[in-house]
Amino acid sequence: MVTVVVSDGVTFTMEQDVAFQCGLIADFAGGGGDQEEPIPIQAVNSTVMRKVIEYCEHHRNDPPQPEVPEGTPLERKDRRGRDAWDKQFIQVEQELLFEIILAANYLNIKPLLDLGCSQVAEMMKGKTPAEIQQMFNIVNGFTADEEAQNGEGEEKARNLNS
Amino acid sequence: MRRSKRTRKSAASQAQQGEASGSNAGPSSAKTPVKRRRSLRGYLKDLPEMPLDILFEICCHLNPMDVLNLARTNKAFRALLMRKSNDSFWIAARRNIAHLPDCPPYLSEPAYANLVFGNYCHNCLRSNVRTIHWEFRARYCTHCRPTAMMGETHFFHGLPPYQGSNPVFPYMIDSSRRHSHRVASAADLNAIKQKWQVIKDTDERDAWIEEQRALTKQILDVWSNLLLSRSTFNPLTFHQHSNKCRTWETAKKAAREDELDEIKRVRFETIVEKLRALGDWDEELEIMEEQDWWPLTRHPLVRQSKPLTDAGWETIKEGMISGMESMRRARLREKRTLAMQDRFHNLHRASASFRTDAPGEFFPEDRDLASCEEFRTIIDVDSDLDIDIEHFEPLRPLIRDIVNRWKDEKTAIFVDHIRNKYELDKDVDVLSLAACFAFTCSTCSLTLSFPHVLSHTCYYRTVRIGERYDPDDYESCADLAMYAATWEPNEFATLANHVNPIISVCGLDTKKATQDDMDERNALLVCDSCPMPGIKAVMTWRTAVTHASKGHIAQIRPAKWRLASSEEEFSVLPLRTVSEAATRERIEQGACWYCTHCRYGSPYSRAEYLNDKASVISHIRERLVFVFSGSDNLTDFLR
Repeated sequence: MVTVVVSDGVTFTMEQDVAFQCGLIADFAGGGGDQEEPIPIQAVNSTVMRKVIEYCEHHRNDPPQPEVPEGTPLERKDRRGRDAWDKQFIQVEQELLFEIILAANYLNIKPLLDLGCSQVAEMMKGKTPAEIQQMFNIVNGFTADEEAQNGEGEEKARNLNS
Repeated sequence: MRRSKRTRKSAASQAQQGEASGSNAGPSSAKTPVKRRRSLRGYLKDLPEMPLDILFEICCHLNPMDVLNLARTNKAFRALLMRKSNDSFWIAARRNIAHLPDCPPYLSEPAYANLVFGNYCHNCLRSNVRTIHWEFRARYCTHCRPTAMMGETHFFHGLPPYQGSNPVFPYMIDSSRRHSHRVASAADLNAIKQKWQVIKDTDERDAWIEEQRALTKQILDVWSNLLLSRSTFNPLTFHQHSNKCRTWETAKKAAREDELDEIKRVRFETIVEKLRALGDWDEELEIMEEQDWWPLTRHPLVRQSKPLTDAGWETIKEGMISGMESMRRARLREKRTLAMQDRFHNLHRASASFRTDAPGEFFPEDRDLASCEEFRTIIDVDSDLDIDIEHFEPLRPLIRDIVNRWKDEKTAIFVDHIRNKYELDKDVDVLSLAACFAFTCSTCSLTLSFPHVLSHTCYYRTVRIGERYDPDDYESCADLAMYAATWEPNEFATLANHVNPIISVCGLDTKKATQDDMDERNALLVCDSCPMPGIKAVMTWRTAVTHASKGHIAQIRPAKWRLASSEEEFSVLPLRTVSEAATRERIEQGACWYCTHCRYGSPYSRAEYLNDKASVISHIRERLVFVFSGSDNLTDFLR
């Protein structure tokens, strides 16, 4: 069994095969047996940790995923291991979604990071800049002059690298 | 691993540097005011604050256009994504597009994404511009093309004197006009011109040209090395990347079509599944499946390339049910039409067979038989029943009665028509009147005697293909199947205007004189309005009517009749005997044969086709193969 303490002081105890899906915990435990001392995880709160543990428990028996070569087309990448449960799991509020992404990045859970990032990407896909601004509450900082200049934006950007 | 190689540097600091560099995010659709919704809590605004790893991971799931749109949302993202050091974001996104060629060295990654995926005119920003001019790295709408692209007449003004096969600017072949010619981007030409005019020194100019060519060659080599190994410069290779891009563009369109087809297929299968679940359409769907799902696949709600959700099904459910009902109605309508056409065809075969039982007898058209109750009882039954020629066999013994009944009915109609038209008394036997010994069709001006007027083709209104009809209406089906409507009296006129003056000359009452009266009177008449020196035309009353109707125009030079004098009667007596004998011989030779089996045998056709015995035999063999038994005994078929 592995015990962790998160930022708000809540302690979680989990089985080793669940805990070791987190690269950070596996590195901390050194691949040994039961960890008696609680592992402090200051960057994650209890709400997010519950979701992370839920994900790790569901995928505890998954075979190790092969490394996907860089440049693999999006469709093939998305098919990889993203089942209906995952889709349901990641349907959360934006705040929680970004905290899960940050937690997955911190705890080094690659499949969960991929899942969170692909969910954000799905939300952005096919949206116009205005729709993205509206959806993610992004403030449009362009001035009127900059808006006017934007008309020739890529024409200028075209020569950026040349 | 990617993550280990990347620094965990906050994107915010890079964003500040990006802004300082003055890079531009391109045309923003942010011109539209954005509504703020307080209830929606967005956290992507904090994305530039996140580790670059995470932004990179997100970009790995985006298309280049999505990254471009993200860069256009605000300054921070623009500055972050436009930095050359962050090209990896664009490359990651670009690799999600299968087979897209790499970014050429003369374009930045954002500009390449904008060129390939943006759909606006690079000159006027008009949207929905699909044509990419790869050589010019731009999209131009049809309005801007004439000014944005210049023909080769402009290649020599203010430019280096020698272009030849080694240009210093890209061009393309414009084949859209009658004569294909070279065109170049106005922007490229202007840039070259400006530079060329600035340089005045000859050596400096030569050096600049060489520099341009070297630069061009360097660019070309990137794309041509893989394709061509050569020692000399080949200007055609300049287009290698453009060709690659065009190939990719074509493949992309094809892939998109495949994708849309797949969406349509899934939508179609979902709809079929939903319809089956309703339970009312199993039979209809099975029939459609046998017909390769025609016409369900053509239904507007089915052929959309839009995935169908449960909520979407609820929206279209009523429309689909209504559509299925109309498709079922249309199928039954077509089934009925085909069944009826088949049955009327069998009626045609049966009637041809029946005619052989009544040789020489007057026979109505098939269309009229179809309206007879006996035939209708056989034909007008459920569409599922097969009606063959054998089903008409019970009518063979009845056909003579059916024909006679039809003839009596139509004769009565015709007589009423003539009686009303000429205001004749009810007790007058119309058909026996001298004025009615022949009739003229007002449509074709043909002169016909009774009963041939009953089968005259002008009586049958032509039914055009496509004319609106009701498949549940028997008569309408028969009209369409036989391209003709039933017999109806036409504007048929008697020869009264020609006959009445002759009757008057003979001293009889024009309203009551019959053909028998005139024959008994046996008068010979002379036409005084035909002045022929030394010759007098003396004729019987029937010949006189024909002479008046064909030899004179009533309004211009009407015939003037008088009774022949005794001397004139005496002098034509021998000629009259000879003339009657000659006429009888002509009839026996076949000059007056006509076919009772088809319209080619109508009196009108007779003059053209059946004017001798040989043509009659030929007609029978060619037109009536299925009833002709091989016998040459024409009297079985003709009279």
